[in-house]
Amino acid sequence: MSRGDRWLLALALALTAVGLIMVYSSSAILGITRYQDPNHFLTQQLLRVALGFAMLLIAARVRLRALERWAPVVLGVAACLLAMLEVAGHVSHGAQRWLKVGFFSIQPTDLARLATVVFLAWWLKRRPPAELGFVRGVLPPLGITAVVSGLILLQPNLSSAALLGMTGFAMVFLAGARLRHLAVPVAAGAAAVAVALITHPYMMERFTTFTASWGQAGSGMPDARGAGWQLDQSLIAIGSGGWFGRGLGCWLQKYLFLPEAHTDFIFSILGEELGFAGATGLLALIALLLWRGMRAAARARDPFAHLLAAGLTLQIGLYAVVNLFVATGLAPTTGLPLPFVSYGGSALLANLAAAGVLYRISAGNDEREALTQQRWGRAS
Amino acid sequence: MANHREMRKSRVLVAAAGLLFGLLVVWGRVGWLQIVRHGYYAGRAELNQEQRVLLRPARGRLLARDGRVLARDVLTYSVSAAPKEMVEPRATARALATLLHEDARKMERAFASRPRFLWVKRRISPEIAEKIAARHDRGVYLSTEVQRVYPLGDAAAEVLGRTDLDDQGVDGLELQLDDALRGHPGWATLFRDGAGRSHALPRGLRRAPEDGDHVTLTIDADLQCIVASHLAAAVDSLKAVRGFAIFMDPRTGEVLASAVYPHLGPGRGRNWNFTDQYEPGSTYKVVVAGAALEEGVVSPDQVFQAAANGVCQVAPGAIFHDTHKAAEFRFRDAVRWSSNIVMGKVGCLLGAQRLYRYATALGFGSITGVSFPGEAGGKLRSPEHWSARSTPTIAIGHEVSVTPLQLTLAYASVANGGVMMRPMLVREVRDASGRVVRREQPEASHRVFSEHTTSLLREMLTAVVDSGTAKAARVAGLAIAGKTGTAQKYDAAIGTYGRGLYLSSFVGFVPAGDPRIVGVVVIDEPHSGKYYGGECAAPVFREVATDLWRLPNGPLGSGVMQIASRPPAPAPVIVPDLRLLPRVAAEQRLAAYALHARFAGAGPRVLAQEPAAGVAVERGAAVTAFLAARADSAGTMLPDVVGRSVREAVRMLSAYAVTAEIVGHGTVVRQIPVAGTRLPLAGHCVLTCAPGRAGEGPVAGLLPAAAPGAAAAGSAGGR
Repeated sequence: MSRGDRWLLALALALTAVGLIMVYSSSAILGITRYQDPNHFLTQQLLRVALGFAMLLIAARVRLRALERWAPVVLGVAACLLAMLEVAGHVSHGAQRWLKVGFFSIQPTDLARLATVVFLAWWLKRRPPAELGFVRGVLPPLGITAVVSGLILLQPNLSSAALLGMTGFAMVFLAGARLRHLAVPVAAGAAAVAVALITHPYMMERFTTFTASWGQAGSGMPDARGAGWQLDQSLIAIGSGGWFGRGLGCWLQKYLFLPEAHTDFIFSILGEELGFAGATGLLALIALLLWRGMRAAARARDPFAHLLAAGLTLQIGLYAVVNLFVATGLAPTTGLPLPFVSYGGSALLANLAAAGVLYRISAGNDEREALTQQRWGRAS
Repeated sequence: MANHREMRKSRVLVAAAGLLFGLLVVWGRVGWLQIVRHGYYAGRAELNQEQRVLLRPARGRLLARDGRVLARDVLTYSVSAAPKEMVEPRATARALATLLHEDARKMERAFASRPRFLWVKRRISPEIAEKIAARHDRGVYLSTEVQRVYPLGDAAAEVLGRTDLDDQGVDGLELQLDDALRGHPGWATLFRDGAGRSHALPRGLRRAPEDGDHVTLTIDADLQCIVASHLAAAVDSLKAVRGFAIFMDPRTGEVLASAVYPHLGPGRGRNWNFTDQYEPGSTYKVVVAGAALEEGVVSPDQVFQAAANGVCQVAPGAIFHDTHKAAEFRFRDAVRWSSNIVMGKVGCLLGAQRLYRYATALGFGSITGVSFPGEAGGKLRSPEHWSARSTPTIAIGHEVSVTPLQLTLAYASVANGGVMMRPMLVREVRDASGRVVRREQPEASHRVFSEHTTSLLREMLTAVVDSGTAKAARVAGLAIAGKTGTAQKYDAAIGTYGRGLYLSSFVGFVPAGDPRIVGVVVIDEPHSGKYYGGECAAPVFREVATDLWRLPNGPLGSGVMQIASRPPAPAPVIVPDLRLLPRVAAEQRLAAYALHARFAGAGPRVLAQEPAAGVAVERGAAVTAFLAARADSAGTMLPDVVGRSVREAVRMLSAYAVTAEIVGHGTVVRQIPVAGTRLPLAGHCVLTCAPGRAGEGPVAGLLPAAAPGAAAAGSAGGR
């Protein structure tokens, strides 16, 4: 195997390292109050990072051809796990998202979102929507995505489902579907969002607090302890950071009541502690990672590798952007982690595995390999 | 194919651009929040910190000059409630009402109207508090509050002042010294868990409160009580409107006692000795007498013409009356019999300018700068506003007004040889650990009279008491000097000096040869038929002097003990045994021994104490009681011993069954494992110590010297 794009690895690991620091800083107090141990969350996260690093190395060694061959099976397994959630899931925070396997509790959602990308890359390579038209080319991949999304939505986990839907849609777009064919699913998606809002009160509540906060131009005091509380605290944390922040570990909001500070709102903590400079740095890291991922996709010769790289990068990017939108009050509050940075097991594993796969794809882009492939092609 | 690849590339570009655009939006938003709106959010973050709870510092004590406590805090309990958190608010309200002897229905209504927070009752006794705590009601909170107690009761109320319900000084010295006494509050942050309960974070942001300073006053507790009781008796028996008296050490300017009567209660009572000004009458003649002698205008035996019928026009419009009628007076006899005519004439001889100069030099007409709130300055117009009759009139103490404090200081200068002293109320300020923060020294302002003049004046004033107008102040065996004053009161209602309204006063010092006490007694509007200062005020001075003379350790005692040289004496107290007492009982027992309680650790009972029982310590010293470790989660963590002495640290750790390995000596500067580590430990806790702050506090310093035998002897000798 030739050398891949080391930037991809370096950036992913750099983000993970930033995440470790921020997780420690933001969760020490919570660790004390819940487990009498300030290092509780840090040690947990370290364990996961180690596991994720192993996962990254393994993923970087998996041959794309093998991945392509097993793509439908992987999706099948993931879908089965999602279905099992309904039966044997572990309820937390009002949603069934975890599956207990021995010591670990895993979130099949994260496996399913990767599997869907792999599967779609496999599918779209074989049935390019540009050539097959709307009914045979565009609808089937979107349908499959919708099924998986639906399974996730059952938990209920609207944000992950929506992001998966968006990923699927974007992959169909990347595969070359005609733009007018894509107008139909956009309309359908909008309709689905409307239905979801009406049928799920907690989503509606978040949405209305969000719109209410916009109405006051982000300066008002949303209802003190309701859904707006979290957002309000997040904005206070970020806003009080200023140019250079309060300094690492000097986070005041952690003593106050910003829930899930170490998971979904970790960016707020970073904003408070490291200020605009730190936030800019983090955004730059993410942007670089996305650029290198997309670069790998653009240079891939094989459509499967191309679509896979683009899909994985897109997924990481979408999670990051939506998480950041939520933390900065640009989107209604949802429970999405910031890739690589947030505390959390399976999401970190999935993202590091994705980084490994991206690296592998970038390695396939190497000129020498391309030459070898050409020579092989001529020889055969 | 090439076309296909181009399409792929452009679409990847679109996707990448979309993501990067999203990040760019976030970047802009973050910039907006962190730079443009930074001020607003920083302010909100500050506001957020109000989620902290305030930890009240203990208010410092007010001590008499000998170290006796004049004001201190005792713990009481207050009950608050959050009906919203209760399972059954109505039942809880009824139960609380029964325990607190309150109306149950009223309580229920109060609970219903204020669901988030209300004070159920403040300042309840520990017994009831324990009963309420034992109920373990949800939503009912007990907090400790302090109550200020004044061991002298009303006797010193107007000079010490009072505090309000929030333990802040509102008048008197409590107000004046509030900054020092108050201390600095600390705070702790509360973390609210899912159930809405508040927890203090064991190692969360917190700042320990800094207790207030203890202030040693110049007040002599004995003298204060003596003056207060005699003044009250006089005011009552003379049916006077009010009375006030102030006593001072003429050599230092220290105010030893300042009493007023009647006691009007918190908020209305004022210390008239500082805040009230009145027309002094004859007591003011010391100004003209002293000035005339100092300037050589008169000699003591110079003879002045008076009037046999007691009426004489001294100046145009100034017709003076003498009570003691004589055709002529020697100057010294004019002082003795308080001749208005002679003193008026001497005033004219002296002239307006010199009279004014001496009056201002003696401090009249301006505030003295004593550290007491609301001090009055008296009234003394400058000579250009004087009329023709003003000079003789002012010479006999009218057309001016003075405060008792000013008069006392003026007589103090006569008593001490001619020097004006700055008045003092505060001797010393020590912080909670006993370190001296500020020590005030007697300070001479300026010289007014020569030694010779004052000795002449002292001689004349002694004659006033021995055979003059103030014979009522005489005490056999004690040389007292003084001057009476009887001023007609100006009645604002009828616009003239009212008949029958008098203000009787006496100023004196004792012993006349070497004065240690100077005092002013003022009786306002006596209504029992007597109205002369010699009849009304002088006896109060006599009684005070007599009592003071009898006092074994008093300033007029055998001469062995003198006020100025008497240090704030340590009154040894034997530390009681607190072990196995409940916290509240331990606190009460310490309070009974006039000791300060400090608790370390948490738990229901005292496990050990420092210093040990039987050790003699200074009155008011702190005793640390180590409470038994609790069995719950909070007790399963290593405590923080950094900053403690080694002895204390080891004691704290032993409460958790942790052995300590000590490196170095002195104060613990580092502990490994750190505080908050879960117990039990595998090994011992290593304490790194450094000298530096070793032996801080009076308790530690006393320990080596306090052998049991010596302690017993000390207790036998102590009060």
